[in-house]
Amino acid sequence: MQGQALSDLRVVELGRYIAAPYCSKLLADLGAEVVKVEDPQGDPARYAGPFPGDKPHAERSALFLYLNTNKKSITLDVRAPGGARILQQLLRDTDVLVEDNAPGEAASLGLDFRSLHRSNPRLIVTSITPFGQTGPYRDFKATDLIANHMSGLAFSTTSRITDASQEPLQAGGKQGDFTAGLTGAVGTMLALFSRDLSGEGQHVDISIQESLAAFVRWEVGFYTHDFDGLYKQLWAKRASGSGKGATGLFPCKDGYVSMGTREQYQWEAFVDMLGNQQLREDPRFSSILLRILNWPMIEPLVLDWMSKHTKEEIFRESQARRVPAFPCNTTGEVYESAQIKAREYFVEVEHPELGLVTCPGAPYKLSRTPWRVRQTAPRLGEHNQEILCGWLGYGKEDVLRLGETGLGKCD
Amino acid sequence: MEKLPLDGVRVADFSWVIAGPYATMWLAVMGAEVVRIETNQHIDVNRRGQPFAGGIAGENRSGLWNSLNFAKLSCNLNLAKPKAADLARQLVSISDVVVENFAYGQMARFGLGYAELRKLKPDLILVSSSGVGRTGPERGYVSYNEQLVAYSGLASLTGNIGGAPTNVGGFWADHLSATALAFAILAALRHRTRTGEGQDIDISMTEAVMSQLPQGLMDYAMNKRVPVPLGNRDAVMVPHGVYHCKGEDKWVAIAVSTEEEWRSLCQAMGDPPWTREKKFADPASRRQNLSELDDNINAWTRERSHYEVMEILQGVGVAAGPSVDIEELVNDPHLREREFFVSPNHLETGRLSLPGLPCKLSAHPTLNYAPSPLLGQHNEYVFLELLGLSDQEFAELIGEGVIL
Repeated sequence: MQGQALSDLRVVELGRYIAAPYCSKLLADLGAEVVKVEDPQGDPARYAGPFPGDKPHAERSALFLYLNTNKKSITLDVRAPGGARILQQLLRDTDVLVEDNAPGEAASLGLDFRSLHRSNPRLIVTSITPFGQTGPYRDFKATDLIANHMSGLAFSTTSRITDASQEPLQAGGKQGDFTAGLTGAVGTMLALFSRDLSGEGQHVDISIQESLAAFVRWEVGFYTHDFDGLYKQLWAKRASGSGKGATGLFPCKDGYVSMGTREQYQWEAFVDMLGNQQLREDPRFSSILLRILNWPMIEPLVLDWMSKHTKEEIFRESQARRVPAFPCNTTGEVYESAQIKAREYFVEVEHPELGLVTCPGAPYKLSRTPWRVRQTAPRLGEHNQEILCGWLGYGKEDVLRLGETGLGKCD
Repeated sequence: MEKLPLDGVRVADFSWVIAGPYATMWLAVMGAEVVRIETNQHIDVNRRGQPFAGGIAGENRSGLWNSLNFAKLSCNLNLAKPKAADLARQLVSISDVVVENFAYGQMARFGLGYAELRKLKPDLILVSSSGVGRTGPERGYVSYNEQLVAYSGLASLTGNIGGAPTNVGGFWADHLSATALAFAILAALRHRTRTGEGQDIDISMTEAVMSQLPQGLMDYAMNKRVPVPLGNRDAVMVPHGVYHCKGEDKWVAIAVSTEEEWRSLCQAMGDPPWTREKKFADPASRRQNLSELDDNINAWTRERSHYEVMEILQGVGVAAGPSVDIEELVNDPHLREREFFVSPNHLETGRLSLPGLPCKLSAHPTLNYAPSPLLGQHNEYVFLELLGLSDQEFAELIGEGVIL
């Protein structure tokens, strides 16, 4: 579509569940024409909730809808020779392949970069796998849980500090998969710029483990920069400082608030709000590090004050004093937030099976080439005929025959 | 040398902390010339914060800052002075992208509001990153990462079962929104290449986090259900969690998604009699008897190191891996072999290892992992070469506290 940043791109996705589909969704939302190649059984995301009324149905997954708006779906058994041939034909006139096969498996399907590059030198291949294309773990299996834990993220995600008897925790909502998808979209864009310079496609290698580990920079800095000092003092025991020093999540009268008082002026405004003038001058709390180390001395006082105020009160009063504070929202609360509504973040998508569904919007706002829902998520194999006949020149009879041999079902 | 993907792109980078700098580091490492505008009058909080190399405080010694600014240039401009804003405008007029994440209204107070910058160069890409966006009733509110992890709903989905909401590590909202920002900038640059049009980019860190929470948000939108933390559990897979291993605070994560994997897990544990009991025969039964299941698995994992369990289970096709601490992460043999960590030769701290970017490009085996700059390290390049000041003008502006 004209006016969109990626409307000249043709993308083929061989993706399941979240990571690769989210990558190509980000491209599709900015105008790229994305053909999603599904196994005849369909992308497993079709069977993942939430579903309206909690009734599972392959065409009613809200997760699938969110991840696959603006795409076309064809069904193809790429493990069968006929299916592999059609895929190769499709890739001849494609700019980007986004795929998530294990490295060894990709090769056995003829999807290794070397072979693909030979038949289409301009093709960019973006592979998103748990551990990337090289290294001793490259063929290991992982889910989002494993990636959270092997990236150091889970170790840094711990309730209320220093309690090493608690489990290190995964982040909620499959963040490793989503983040790798986003990272893959960045890598794909870079490869497009590179292709503009050289005329050649390349292989973009995205590891879910690394996509998360790249965020653990502060924590790594303690180990590599101050091992004998603060690393041993704080980090070796998972003492991130969250919840201490008036930074982090605090229970209040009706839930939790998140406070951030890193700068001295913020701390002073915070203790003013508490109505405690002595703390302002107290040298034991005159820096963020001292406040973390000496936190037990004032924690009861702060918690007592918090327990008497609602999160809304603390939020508005703190902000009036320029103290960083926000309420800890449930997904329902943020959905209803006036700020989010004012920015028209959520969008409504019409779907033949689901009706009108409210979806999260894009993670950015572009003034001139905004993301748009051009078409709703496809039914399984909805575009078999369009792609096979319209793009690849098969006759209708060929398509029926292909359907019968299980390569692609046609409506 | 092969040209890097963003060769020839120049970025005037007014941003600080993480959400801006991590995005512009993607651009710098990939070949763009990124000039950070800094001032001694209000030094980036991350230059002033721990960890410092060798535990010695110093504005060029912060591990976090030095991990967020590879390959950038740094110049001094005290934007509170009108002459500094003039120089900033000159720099903007020869740049392709401008990035800022000050508190709302600060750029305009410097005389660097969008409308004004747009006049300097119509095809500029003007980027603003902020906690909740540049529009809406709360646009003026102040926040750091953690407040936005809470506000977005992510903290409410993270934590122990039945426990308190929990902040996600790794300065989540900062790094995540920065990655989304890098994507948006690249899309805008590509649009400009094709059409000659610039545009504005408005990133709300909160919304960047929310775009990765469709299940929680849509469950509320459709079913008015409010999801709660699952600990290390999963709604479908079982067993799915972390298990105790040999040593203090050592854990292995195991996720079983099919019956075939379940049988492989049992076999790897030596097929103890409990695995044949009816109460563990299928996923529904295993979920019903979860704590007993976990006790049994724990009894096996406890005898082994977390890496050992990974090797055994991966050997039979079961997803498993150690829950690594920071030391183990930095020394992880797989990440080492992939050269995920880089150690640019920093002028003041030398070669200290830090995470690189999570993206390997086959056509660019060598990316621009030059060290992060010292504060004001590139003043001469920026003011004399790029902006064409004379030596005398340069000296005067330093004397007047403009280049400061």
